[in-house]
Amino acid sequence: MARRRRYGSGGFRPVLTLLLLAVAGGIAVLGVLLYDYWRDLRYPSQEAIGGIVGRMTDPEFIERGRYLVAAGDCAACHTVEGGRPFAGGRGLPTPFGTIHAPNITPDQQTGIGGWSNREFVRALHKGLGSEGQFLYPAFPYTSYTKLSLEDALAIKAYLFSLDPVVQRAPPNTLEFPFDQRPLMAFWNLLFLDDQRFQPEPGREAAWNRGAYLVEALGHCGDCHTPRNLLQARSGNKFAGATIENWQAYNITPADNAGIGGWSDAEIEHYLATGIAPGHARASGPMAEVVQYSTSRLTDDDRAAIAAYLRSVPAIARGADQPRNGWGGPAADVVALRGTVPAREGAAEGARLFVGNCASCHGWTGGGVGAPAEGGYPSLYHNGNVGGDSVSNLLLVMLNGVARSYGDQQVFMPAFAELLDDVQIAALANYVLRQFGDPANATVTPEDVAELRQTPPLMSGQR
Amino acid sequence: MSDTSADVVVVGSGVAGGIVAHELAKAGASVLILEAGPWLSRWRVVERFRNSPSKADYMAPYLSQPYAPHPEYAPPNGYLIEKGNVDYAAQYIRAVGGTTWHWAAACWRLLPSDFRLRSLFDVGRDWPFAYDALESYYLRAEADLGVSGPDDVDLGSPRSAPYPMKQIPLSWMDQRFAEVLNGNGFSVVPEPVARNSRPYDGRPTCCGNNNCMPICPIAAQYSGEVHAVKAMRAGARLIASAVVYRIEAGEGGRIAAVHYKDPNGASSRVTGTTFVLAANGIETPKLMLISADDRFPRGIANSSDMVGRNLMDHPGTGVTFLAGEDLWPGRGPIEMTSVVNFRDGTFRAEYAAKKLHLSNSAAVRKVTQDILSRGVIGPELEREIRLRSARTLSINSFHEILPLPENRVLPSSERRDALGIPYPEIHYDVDEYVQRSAAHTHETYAQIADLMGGTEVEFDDAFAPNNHIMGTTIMGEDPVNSVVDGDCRTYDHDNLFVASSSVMPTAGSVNCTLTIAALAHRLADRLRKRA
Repeated sequence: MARRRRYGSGGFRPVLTLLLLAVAGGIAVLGVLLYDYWRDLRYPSQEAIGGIVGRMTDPEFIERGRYLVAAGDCAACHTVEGGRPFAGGRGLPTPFGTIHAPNITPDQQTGIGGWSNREFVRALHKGLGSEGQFLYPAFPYTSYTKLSLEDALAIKAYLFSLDPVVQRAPPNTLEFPFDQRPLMAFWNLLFLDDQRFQPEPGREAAWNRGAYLVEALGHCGDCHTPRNLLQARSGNKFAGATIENWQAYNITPADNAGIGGWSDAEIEHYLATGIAPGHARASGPMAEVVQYSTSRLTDDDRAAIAAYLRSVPAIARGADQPRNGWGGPAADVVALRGTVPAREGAAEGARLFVGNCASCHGWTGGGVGAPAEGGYPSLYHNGNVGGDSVSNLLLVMLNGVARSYGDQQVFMPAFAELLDDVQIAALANYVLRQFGDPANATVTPEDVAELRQTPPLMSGQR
Repeated sequence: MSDTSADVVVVGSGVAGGIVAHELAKAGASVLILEAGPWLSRWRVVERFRNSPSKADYMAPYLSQPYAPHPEYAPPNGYLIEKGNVDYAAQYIRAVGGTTWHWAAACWRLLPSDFRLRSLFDVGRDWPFAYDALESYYLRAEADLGVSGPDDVDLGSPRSAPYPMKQIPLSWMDQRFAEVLNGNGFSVVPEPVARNSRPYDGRPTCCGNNNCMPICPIAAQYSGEVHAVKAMRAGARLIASAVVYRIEAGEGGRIAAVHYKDPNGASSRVTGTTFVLAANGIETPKLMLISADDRFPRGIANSSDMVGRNLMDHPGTGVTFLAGEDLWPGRGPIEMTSVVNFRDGTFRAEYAAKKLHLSNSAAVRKVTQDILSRGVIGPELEREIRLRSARTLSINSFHEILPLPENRVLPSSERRDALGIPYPEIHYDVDEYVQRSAAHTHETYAQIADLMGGTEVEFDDAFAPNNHIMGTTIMGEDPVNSVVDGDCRTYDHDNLFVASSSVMPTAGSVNCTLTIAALAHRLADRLRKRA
């Protein structure tokens, strides 16, 4: 009664007032959005671009663009499995449907050959397409917005120096209302920090270069920072996230959960080769990042990335030992020796390990030829086996590893067609009990079946 | 009886059948592969090998099936019924992928002179075509199988392009062996092998498990299963455990169908437009001979009476000795270098060409058995194992045998398998052409042992089998003494072809698998053009 009286005593004037305020506010927001949109369509100014366009056919400027395109790993999304580089078509699954990366070769009809300099820069900085339509943030413009105008145009200069490829990306399959592009205006209002990168004057040049590479070009946070319900990056920067079933690990300087235990040299070596000896070896999408992006950077730029990553806030997330701290040598081969294996029947984990894994990873699981770079790594004290998500281990077992850097190739065969779901689950649980965190040894055949649906990587792996 | 049909019916799923099926399926033909044996799973073969007490028996991990038996030797199952002076004793595997499940993966090309034995040396036979006609197919075969080989050494077989992969680094033993012998008038070369020196075709780099035979545990080494699976991905159908027991000739001698039995004995008839027999040099002629009917009383494709005859292999002799220095055989794959300076020369008019090869199999198991059998124990046992494992060298040889009609395969009239299909009966002998060469090989072994500071030299002069089954559906220009023509087509049946080492008119002195693969590519090319 008291509550009703309180409402009643004020009459309906406050309600009306609130309603009017809301309408006014809505109109104001819409006005702001419309104004922003009107302004963004005219961005960047011809004056700003004018000083740069003259250099866009300069080989040095194009070379700079090539380097930036590698640093931004544009190829990763804009190339389909086995396809021509940058010709698009790769499907990027989101919770709302699949978005297909477009062709960014300079073909007039199917690529970006008809785009003006302004339209190109606008896409990177504002997330607007050539016809002014809103792009989806699967394209990491919330990172690329930090790019300098010069770098943005260098990227265009390089892309326009490529041979045009005629190839149209399949249409997106987003569900209503997510297929309504104008809604992205609200999303941008909330999540697009429309600012170019500004160096911090108190920091060293290397740190600032690292920040630029990580935050703008490398868009590391697009995988390594968890996303909120609206698929924007959350506040737990670089704390690790799951993307397309792969676990992108915590890359904050937390001692156990992150890379706090890695030396600068180890971080740099990892970016150059995919291997941080004793800590981690890249697989899945990160293997592609190493192959197509970080291995192609200069030593100085890799050092800059390491320096910057060291400085971001550590997020511990409760890990009490590093992911490469689990497990120990196996001895099951001794117990199995001389026994008569069942001709068919249950496939126990130890038998599957000895038959499928031990010939490369050693009968103890301790590796063969590692830590030499072409060698086969230890399974215990192995960052992929000891990670808190088992999906990376399962995806590597199913689909193997194939990455290269320079003329080195790192390879593990795929077992997806050699072992069934029950066998993969039994083997994974054995590996987790013996070489990883035994608490994770709860993999079911259903888990395996689900992970088999993971979309393929550019290398043709899943 | 159920009926099925395909454009191309391939009997056998080894290297030859797999490549033909794959090429034709890629070209859009409907292809059906009938494989007598079962699917194998590599890890189960590995498991049987690791747990088997008979490690030296390469057949032990491969279970002979009652419905499609293959030879077993520990203990012997008597599948090959030996009737000759010399035991042929071939090992082969009836399973999807065939006998390349266990091999040393040597991928030699024949020499140009191997194609012209009759013209050049007045012995044996000539091929209907020259080396040059096969060169481009050798190249394709090397790409298909994934061959690592030396590009800076002339192996005597001209090549139009480099090997797909660079050679696998030689073991210390192989380096020393080559160094010593090459300084003394021999020619020791790295062996080209279908084994990955880098990731290739979805298979990993060799990591030196040193048990290529009986099983490469990681598939760094090619096996025929690769192309059986590729053929299926390209649209071919494969029926495993389908034992073809009859080839049925129809109108005008054309083959109308083949008949197979499943493991329970239920029979099916498969019709087709083109039939390719790729069931190896023993099972293929046996099948032709047991398919005799009223119109073809000598058997299918056998108007020449040559089916099953001219059986060849590479009779081998060996030597083992203790080298004068520690060389530690066993690092890397089981075979890496060969002595090739006896592969060709005017001597071939008098005695057989040959290739010698150094074994890189770890000697630990064998020397330990020997020492234990002498009753040695205690510290001396360990010392002896160490010394002998490090210094035991073993060299073997392939001698070129000539195609002799009296060396032959016949269906046994005595024994039959669970499906009622006759066992193969073998009549085999090694003639003076080989014996004269083997005597020279013996002297050469003594010379090599001497150069390597060898002691305790033990010769094994008995002719050992090397499982290179050739000649039994021999190719030639004259239908009077040949089973197939230069296109590998049977003279008697317009639509019946053979993809196998059984068509080879000469054996040369090298492993025949790469030639099988090259001939399969050439046949696939011919069949594509016919279609």
